[in-house]
Amino acid sequence: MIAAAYPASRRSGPAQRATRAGSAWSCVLAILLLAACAGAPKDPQNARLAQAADYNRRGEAALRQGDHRKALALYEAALRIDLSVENLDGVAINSINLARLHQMLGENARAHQRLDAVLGGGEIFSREYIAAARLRKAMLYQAANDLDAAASWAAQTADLCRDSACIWQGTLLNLRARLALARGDFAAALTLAGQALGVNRGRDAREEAANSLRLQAEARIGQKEFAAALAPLDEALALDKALGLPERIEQDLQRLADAHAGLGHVDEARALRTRAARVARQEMKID
Amino acid sequence: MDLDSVPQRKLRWQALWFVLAALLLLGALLGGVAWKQGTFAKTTQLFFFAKSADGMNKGMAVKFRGFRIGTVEEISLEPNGSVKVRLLINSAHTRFVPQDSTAHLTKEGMIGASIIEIEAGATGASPVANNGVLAFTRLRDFNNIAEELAGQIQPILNDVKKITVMVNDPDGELRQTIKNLNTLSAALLETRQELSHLVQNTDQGLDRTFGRLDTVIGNAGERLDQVGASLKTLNEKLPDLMLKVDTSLDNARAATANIKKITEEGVEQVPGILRDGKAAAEDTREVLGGVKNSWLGRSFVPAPTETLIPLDSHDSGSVSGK
Repeated sequence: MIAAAYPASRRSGPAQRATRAGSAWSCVLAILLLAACAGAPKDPQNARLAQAADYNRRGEAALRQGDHRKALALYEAALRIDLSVENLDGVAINSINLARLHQMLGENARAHQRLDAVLGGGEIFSREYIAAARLRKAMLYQAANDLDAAASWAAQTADLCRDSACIWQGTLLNLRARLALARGDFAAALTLAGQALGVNRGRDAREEAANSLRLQAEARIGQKEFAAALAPLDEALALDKALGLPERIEQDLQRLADAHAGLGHVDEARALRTRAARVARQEMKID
Repeated sequence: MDLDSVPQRKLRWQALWFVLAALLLLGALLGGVAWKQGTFAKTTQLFFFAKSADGMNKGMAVKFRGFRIGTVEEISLEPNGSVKVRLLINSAHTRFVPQDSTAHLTKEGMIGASIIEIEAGATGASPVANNGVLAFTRLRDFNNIAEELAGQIQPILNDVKKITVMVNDPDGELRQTIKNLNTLSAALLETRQELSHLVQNTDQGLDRTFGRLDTVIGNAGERLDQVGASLKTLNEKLPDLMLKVDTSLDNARAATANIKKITEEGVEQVPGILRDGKAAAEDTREVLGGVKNSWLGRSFVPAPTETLIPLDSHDSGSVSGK
């Protein structure tokens, strides 16, 4: 390429060759310097933030391994560091994570306290994390079967999560569909689950897409449209299998059994319930 | 004259200036990294004198309350036979080292690396000056404890040896007692025979009664015979047994000596291996940290960030599944 940039008359003699070699080395150096300068150089992360990030990552690993107490301790350590250096994003992230862990450990009051710490901070935290805290709050109330409070917090989340830029939109729509199901409003649940499915597919959020499909099927079953529930459940089952989520595979199989039972396919329903029970048994063994 | 020579010369000069600028930048980068690593940090020189250089080596860490504040720079033998140790302390930390401070040679944990630990005095003296001399003491380590333990066990072993010799002595009290028991049993045997003979010659009317007595005495005699036989066996076997006990004790002593030797070697070698490994790991971490934080490395290595546990609408559980 460099040689091609010169006319043929200039490509002869030792002096010219030396010039070309010098130019080539200059180009190499220039490329190296440009590569190093590409983009604005980031400020080095301070040791405290690096330590907080390390605790956060270890907490995530402990959670994946099912060691909830250890995960709790590690996220608390990360939060302490973030508080000490006023790293607001870290404070919000670890508080919301701790709320989830308290919920998993059955400590709902502590979970609410963690979220209130973020929600009571006014506008100091970014909208993204305030929306996440509100959504987590809605999920806490929904798990406690306090549907009114859950709907209220879901609506407050929606205030911050109206457009597609909100990364929690698909999850929020699924939650609202679930709340509609709990109220027995199957038509609304079907609509919301359909909207959620579109958002989640657009984001390639496969776990949430599977949730949307399951919710659609549950709404169909609630409307006694058993045949229409089969296709979304088959798709949800395929997704959950691909993601390796035994608890959800079991639920997909149970819902499929319900649909087949509704259609009068007794043998298929029995076979599906047997499969679901087998999956549940193996899952318990793993735990 | 070549028509293209002027532009070519100009291009050559431009390339030369560019290379020079790049080299200058590289030099500045290397200088910056060296400054960051503390190469140009101001240091204060301190000394202490020890009887022996055992366990000390050049480059070992000098710590104050667990924090590294300097290194051992030089260890040399003085004309009077004492060992002179030169320390380089980061000048920023000399305020923690008053003039009445003491340097200890100790270990980080039971088998950790040897370090020089500076202990500040209690008199509130002013900070030590450059070329200051500290007092030195060598704290007890695992090796010293093992030697002390061996010293305590040795008298016990000597006592066991004395008892063994006493038991094994043919003229000793134990052997004499056994011999006397043997003699006594033989005498009892003779008495039994005489008594039996006497009873046979007494009144026939008392035959039945004495017959029973004879039986009883006969049984007693049999028991005495057995006692005699047992004592004889014991008398024969005891020297061998004592010899075996003696040999076992010798073996135990040899084994103890071997264990002590192995422990001493371990105490010398294991900390070295651990120290080397630890030093290598620390070096690697420092190099990686330096690369990550350097101007060039920062552009390529992303800084770790904290992440949120994904919010999953399924977390709250399935309503219809309940």
